[in-house]
Amino acid sequence: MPSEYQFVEHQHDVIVIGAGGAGLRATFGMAEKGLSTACITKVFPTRSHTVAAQGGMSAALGNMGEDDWRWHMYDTIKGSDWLGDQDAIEYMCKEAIPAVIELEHYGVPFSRTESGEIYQRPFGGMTTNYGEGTAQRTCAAADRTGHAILHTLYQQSLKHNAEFLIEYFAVDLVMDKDGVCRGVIAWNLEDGTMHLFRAHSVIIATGGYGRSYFSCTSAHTCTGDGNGMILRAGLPLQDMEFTQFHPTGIYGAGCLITEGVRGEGGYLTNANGERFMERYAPNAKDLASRDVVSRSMTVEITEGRGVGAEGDHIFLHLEHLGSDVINERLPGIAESAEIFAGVDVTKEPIPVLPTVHYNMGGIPTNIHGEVVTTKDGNPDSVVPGLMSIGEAACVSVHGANRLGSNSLLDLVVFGRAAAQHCAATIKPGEKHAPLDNESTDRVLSHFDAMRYADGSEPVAKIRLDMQKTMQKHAAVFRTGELMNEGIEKLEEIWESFKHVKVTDRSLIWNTDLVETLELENLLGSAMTSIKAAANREESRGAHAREDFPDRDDENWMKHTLTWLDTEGKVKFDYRPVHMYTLTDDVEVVPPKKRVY
Amino acid sequence: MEPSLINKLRWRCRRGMRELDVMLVNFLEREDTISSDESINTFQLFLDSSDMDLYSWLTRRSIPQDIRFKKIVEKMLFKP
Repeated sequence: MPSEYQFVEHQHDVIVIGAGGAGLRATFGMAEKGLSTACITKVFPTRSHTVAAQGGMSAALGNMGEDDWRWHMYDTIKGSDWLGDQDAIEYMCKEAIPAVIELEHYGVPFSRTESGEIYQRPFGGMTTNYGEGTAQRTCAAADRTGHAILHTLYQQSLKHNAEFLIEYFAVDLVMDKDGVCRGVIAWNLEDGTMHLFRAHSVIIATGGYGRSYFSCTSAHTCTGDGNGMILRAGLPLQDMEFTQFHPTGIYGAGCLITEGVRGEGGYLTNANGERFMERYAPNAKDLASRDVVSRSMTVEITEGRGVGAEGDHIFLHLEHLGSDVINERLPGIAESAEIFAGVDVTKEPIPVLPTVHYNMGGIPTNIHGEVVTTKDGNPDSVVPGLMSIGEAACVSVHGANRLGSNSLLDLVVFGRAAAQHCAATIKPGEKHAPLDNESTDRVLSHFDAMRYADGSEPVAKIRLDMQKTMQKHAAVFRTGELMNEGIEKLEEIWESFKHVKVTDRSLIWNTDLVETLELENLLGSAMTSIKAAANREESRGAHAREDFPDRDDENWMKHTLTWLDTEGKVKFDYRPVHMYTLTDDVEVVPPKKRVY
Repeated sequence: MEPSLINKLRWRCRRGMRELDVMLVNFLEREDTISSDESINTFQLFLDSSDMDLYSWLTRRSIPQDIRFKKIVEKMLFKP
């Protein structure tokens, strides 16, 4: 081990990496059960990206009319385009009910009905009676649900004496020679010390990797750090080809312009000033569904009719509506457009483009949150000592496409499940197995090499190259040819990362080095994502291919597993989709065409 | 100015919402933000605010009570 590093060792029963909704729910749950629990987080807990989830959290409470978790389960399976595991979806939709009630007891200030019950609002894709009616299933705390959940869970975690290591960057997992996870190594950004956290279970709750793309709605902090750690540990990621887009993110800034804008008469134009949606969706036009609008916009850009100096975006017009309508019916939109695009919406259009919104793929797990892989013919082989939850994980409950308000639910239900599993299987204070130096040396040598990287390529340039490549070649419009071109480019970018230049050699607040480590994580996600997308020759959910327009259940109703080597090469394997339920309380939903 | 202090501020501009990331980093990169010890200290305190407060101030839904923060918000939202 490079000897200049101060190396502080900590011993805990469990370690959680990440303090978003999933990480905090797990941290609190385990601390409450008396396990010695530490949570490592690179930003302050209430500044995690969960704070941006304003919409709410679904649960079939039935407060606003008849509802049933089986209907919620049906909606989620259909939304997933039959790629979701039905046992896991059953678990999530059933456990949603106690999970929400618990949150209410812990102090989340849900909005209420006049009779004092939790108020529930309708949300896209949420139905009653297996697609017949509209369900009111989404529980919200005004427009700050994510914030309220984070705040409450953080307070509860502190109350139960969980330890928080704030502004620590998790560098890598400590895996022993038998493939067991023994802990994690993290870097204290403030004082530059290195830390080894020993634990009987390490829980990865690091969120998504939206920043692999040029335009994403995610915060800067969403760099798929857990995905990177998994790949470097020689483990696979699952279903990385499935990425959800929102059609109208502000060009450059990524901030969302709500779909309500088009509902009020806003429309899109290309470089010729043409209202092109009339060609793609003659009836619905600008009000067609998210994926149709996103794909049409992308075709316009790809065929050279995008707007702007680089012809890489589209205009969204509101000018014709007049300032009264805009201010009355679309509050906040004028402010967002002015602040984030520098545009006066009463006079000029907003530059927009399809924007990455959610990553369905991630670290494969079972319903307890245990990380799984294929081994000796067993597709559900558990990796000892390692768990994952939240957007970082792929249970898989969202399959090929996530429904709105199912993400906060995923965080809470599986954060809770992971805590319950640890409480049932780990005895507080259990002794840690001895650790050979090799497993920690591997991590520190890699860290040291990155710190002293003395090539010619600045991090910002490599990152931008990656983001533009993913945006052009692995976004909404997908063909084999386009993606293969993208793979070639990304392989060159991968090569260029070997010549990265880190300018700051210090260990204190070295944001240059942090961003380099984050870029490495993003590159791993990007590479597995685009290669998995080129590999899957069908269209399913968010993965829509022009050259394979139909879903192909016979050949592709399976999860993709991707391993990545240091040369950027990807190895594939598959896991079966769980077409069975967890209990006899409900029947399997057989595949059919997904039409709304 | 210590480069590590600027980097620390840069890190604390990392927030849960992309809107805030963009605005705070842009502000940090303006010369007058870090022109004096006083302006740096005030910005540090400003960054200790919650994401919800920052978002509310920066989208003009509310006005900070602290007069120093009010000035920062005005500067951030000012378009010449």
